[in-house]
Amino acid sequence: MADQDRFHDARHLGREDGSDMGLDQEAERTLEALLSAAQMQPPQMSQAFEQGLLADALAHMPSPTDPTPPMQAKPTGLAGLAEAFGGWIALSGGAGGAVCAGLVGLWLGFASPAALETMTANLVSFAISESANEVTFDSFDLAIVLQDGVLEEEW
Amino acid sequence: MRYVQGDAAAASALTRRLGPKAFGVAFRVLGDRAEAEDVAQEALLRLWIAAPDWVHHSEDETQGDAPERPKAKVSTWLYRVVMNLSIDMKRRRRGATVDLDAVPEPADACRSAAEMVQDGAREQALQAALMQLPERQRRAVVLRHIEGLSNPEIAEILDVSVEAVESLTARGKRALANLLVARKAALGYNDG
Repeated sequence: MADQDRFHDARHLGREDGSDMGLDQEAERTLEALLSAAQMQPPQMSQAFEQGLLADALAHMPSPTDPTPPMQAKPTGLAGLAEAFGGWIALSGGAGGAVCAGLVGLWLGFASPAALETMTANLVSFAISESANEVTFDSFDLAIVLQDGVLEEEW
Repeated sequence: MRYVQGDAAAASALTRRLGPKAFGVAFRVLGDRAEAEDVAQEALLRLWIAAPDWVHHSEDETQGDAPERPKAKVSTWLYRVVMNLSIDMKRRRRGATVDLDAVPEPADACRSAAEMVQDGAREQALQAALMQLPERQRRAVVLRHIEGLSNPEIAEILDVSVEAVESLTARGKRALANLLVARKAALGYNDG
């Protein structure tokens, strides 16, 4: 348990030295001993119940021959435009990249300073909106665990 | 060894690892083995059913240009499901509590036997005291002081602020101590 968490808990009990002022010391020792014992000896599952859990896991386990899920919807907006050109790789490298860079350079040559400021603002705005989408996205890393079947780092 | 690719060994490893976690926390919160088994079974069932979607979602991401995003532990996901299922279970059977005074006194036969009884008595006393806490305090105390999670993790699981978690665990711990101190001698903690 993090020391910082201990400090915050203690603060709620009115003390800042890491111990719980609201508790009688003996009562605190008693409680700590019980909680430690509970951590060391978690409730045991019966063997029959564990077998039932394993049966569930096997029953719902995908078969290697299961069909893959339907394709995702086609991307729209900027991503869709990139897709139409053959993907981001086509736009960012090779001949496509060179063409793209050439077009941008041509436009920059003709553009007024005001237009350049607008372009910069639009690019920044796009980056921020992409970040906001990521923040609201559910981010549990379950897939990796289920793929690997190894949980040492997670638990 | 991949569950989603139909590897039975992966299914077994995951069950052995996740099952006790789900059952343990459900039992501490519900105080009833049968109900804890129901909750743990349902939580793991949801995990298995969701597995293909999670994996394909992950593959879609790795193929695109999605930036790196913070990832939560699978334990957080599982604890949250267990907690929500436990709340549902509680709603279905309101009112039942365990009587702290009903915990048996430890016997004084031979020492090893006495120790065994005392261990059982301590376990039951703690569980009985936990069951007397208000629901939210109990969930926070179990996650913090028995499962050993951090306050931010608990906040995510219980869907409350970190400050609320701090307050819940502190009040819960104080209440637990007050409930248990009266039985200190009977539980063998009278020597210091």
